[in-house]
Amino acid sequence: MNKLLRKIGSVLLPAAVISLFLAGCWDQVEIEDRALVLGLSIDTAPPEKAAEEEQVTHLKNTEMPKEMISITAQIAVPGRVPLGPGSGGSQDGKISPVWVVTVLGHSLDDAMNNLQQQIADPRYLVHLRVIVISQDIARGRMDDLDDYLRRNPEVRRRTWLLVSEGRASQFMDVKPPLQRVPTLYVLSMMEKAVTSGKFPPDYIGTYWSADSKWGQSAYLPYVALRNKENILINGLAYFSQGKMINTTQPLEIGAFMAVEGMDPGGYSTLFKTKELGMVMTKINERYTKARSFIRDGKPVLSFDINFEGDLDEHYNGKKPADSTARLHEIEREFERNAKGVIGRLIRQTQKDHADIFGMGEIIRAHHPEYWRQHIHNKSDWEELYGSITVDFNLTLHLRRVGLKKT
Amino acid sequence: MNDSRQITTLRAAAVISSTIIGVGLLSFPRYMAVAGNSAGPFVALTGVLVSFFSFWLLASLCRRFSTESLFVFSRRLIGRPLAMFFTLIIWLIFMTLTGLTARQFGDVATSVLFNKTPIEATIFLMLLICQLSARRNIIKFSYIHFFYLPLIIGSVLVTILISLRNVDLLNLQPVLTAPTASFWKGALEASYLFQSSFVITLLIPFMKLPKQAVRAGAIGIFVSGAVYWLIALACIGLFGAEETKLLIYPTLETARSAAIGEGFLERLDALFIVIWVISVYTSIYTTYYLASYLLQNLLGLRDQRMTSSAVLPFVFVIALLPENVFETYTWSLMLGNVSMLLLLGYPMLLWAVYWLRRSGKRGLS
Repeated sequence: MNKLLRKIGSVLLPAAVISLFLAGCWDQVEIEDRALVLGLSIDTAPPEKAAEEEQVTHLKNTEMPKEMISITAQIAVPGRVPLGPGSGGSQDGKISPVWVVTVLGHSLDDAMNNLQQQIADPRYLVHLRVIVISQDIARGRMDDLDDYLRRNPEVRRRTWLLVSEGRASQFMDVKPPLQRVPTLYVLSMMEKAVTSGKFPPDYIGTYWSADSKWGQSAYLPYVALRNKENILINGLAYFSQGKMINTTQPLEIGAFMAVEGMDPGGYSTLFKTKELGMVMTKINERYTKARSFIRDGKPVLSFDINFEGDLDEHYNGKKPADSTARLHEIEREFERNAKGVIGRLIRQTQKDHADIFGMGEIIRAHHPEYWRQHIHNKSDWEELYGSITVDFNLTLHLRRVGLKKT
Repeated sequence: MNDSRQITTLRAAAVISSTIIGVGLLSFPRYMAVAGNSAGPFVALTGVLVSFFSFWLLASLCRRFSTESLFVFSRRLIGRPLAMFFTLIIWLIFMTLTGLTARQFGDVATSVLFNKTPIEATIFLMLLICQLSARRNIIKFSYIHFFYLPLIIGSVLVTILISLRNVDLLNLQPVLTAPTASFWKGALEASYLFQSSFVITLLIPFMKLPKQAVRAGAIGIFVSGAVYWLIALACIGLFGAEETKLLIYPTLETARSAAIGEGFLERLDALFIVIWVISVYTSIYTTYYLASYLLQNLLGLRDQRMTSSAVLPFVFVIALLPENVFETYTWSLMLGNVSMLLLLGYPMLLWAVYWLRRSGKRGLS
């Protein structure tokens, strides 16, 4: 009898223990029950809007800062986000794969909580890929955003943070024909700009690192909407003292990448030469060597910028571009031209005290003694950056001319 | 006798390595960046050397008593009451270390992985696994470490190598720094992570070649030291020193921003965390084993099977004591300070007595 009991026990006990492990995960949430936020846009809202805000994280009578923000979130609708190529079904055009929700709040977290109060499923930022902020936000209050997004373990450092011309919420409504999910279109646009050398890989993590460094100022992609549907990379929005201060022209992104020596080259330049007419050159590779000195107690930086390129277009010229000498002529003209563009960009950032090139980091790395004596915080360097000397040399080598001989 | 001497030098080294690589992996670069800015990896290197020195002090002493563990021969050297006293303190240290490590593990798991799972459950399960495996003898103990080590080192190295692609060398310059107070503080903090190399005292009586204890430790410490050094290098090189100081778990952020082939494979943090859990298990396992072994020694029991169960509730309570994350960190640092003093001081005392007795004997004969 006793033996039998023991036998039964020896079978039942392990079974009981094993059944504990069948309970599954404590934290499990089915994917259909998640509100996956794919894209987010953040705008300022006028202070009067405070009256319209729901009382989710604070009551009306509590003291709050006047500024308000309005966020627009693109939430993936489960089952409607198409996976793989579309089958050409009739539904595709009518039902949007995303749900666009707009809420108000005092801070980003406040607004996210208001958002949660309005939607059934718990929101998840794990698939957040693109955040668009308006210029007003970038010029005013980045620290709230930086704090919340850095602190939240769901946000990746490879998210794109874009500064928009005009209201950011427009970007959540675009319906581009190339991708069915709007934010995925913005995302693939930025990613492709990086691989084709049109834009530096400036993710939110890169922006944070630059923002923390004493010897560098941060910058973000500056985008604009054209014809309601097309998104244009409109330049760099750069920061000084933690606030956005100015923007560059799109061509100046190329100039910036040239000074940084970022590969591959992606920008083409159209310019007028003296004798060869209009010429367009395409840059394929950039290589830059930076040197730094301390001269008369002031940092001096010198950049050797090298380009490899092709002749892309040539018309209206009196002479054909058909010999080494002619190519050299074009190269010299380009160098003169590009020097103007780069020089202008450097002077503009110096005037704005925004060292987007990270020249201070070069000084910090190579002249630690000087750095320790003169620079005690980030604004020391940004102040000094306005008055340093920057020299640069440009060399272009045109290697090929395409399929036309002259 | 020959049967019990089964642990090879390499396996002893593996035990030490996998013990050292543990919970500190995630926040290590932050301490280094605070101590040395861009020279963080240099601080880490100094820390490794410091900890090797304290290890050498201990291991070369134990090597001379290759058939007994430290707790046995210390009784003969300095007398039973004093030896018991020191053993008691070392036991307390390893109890607290086990508890705090389990707590740090729970904190990370709760804030990054399981938001809803109660931290008590995470900690308790981890401790329970350690308790169950601590019932095994020391030979099996060494095999478990030897089995997991390649997994841990391999995946950590893969993560580091992927992120090394994006390292900006400017972030790592200047490479050297003046040996200021904060530099030494950082080097000591780095060496705290290596304190569980104390486990060698358990291994020596079971090693095939006890004379090679120092060599085993050297391999163990330098392999794990290289891992820590590379992690500091990758983090500071990737983010810059200032950003690394802002992040509570810089290594995790490195894994989170690593990507293969421009977004083809992203979010390696999931994989990294899984491996990290294993590495935490191996280090808690060692400290837990030490704690139960020391208790067995204090009570004079035959083996550590029963004490391993007795230790569990106490360690669990210690793990739940800190109020918040910051308190956990300050307590860990304080514990590091105390054990640094003890692990340097105690072997020195034993060495002194050892030399005195030896010269005394020579004088007599």
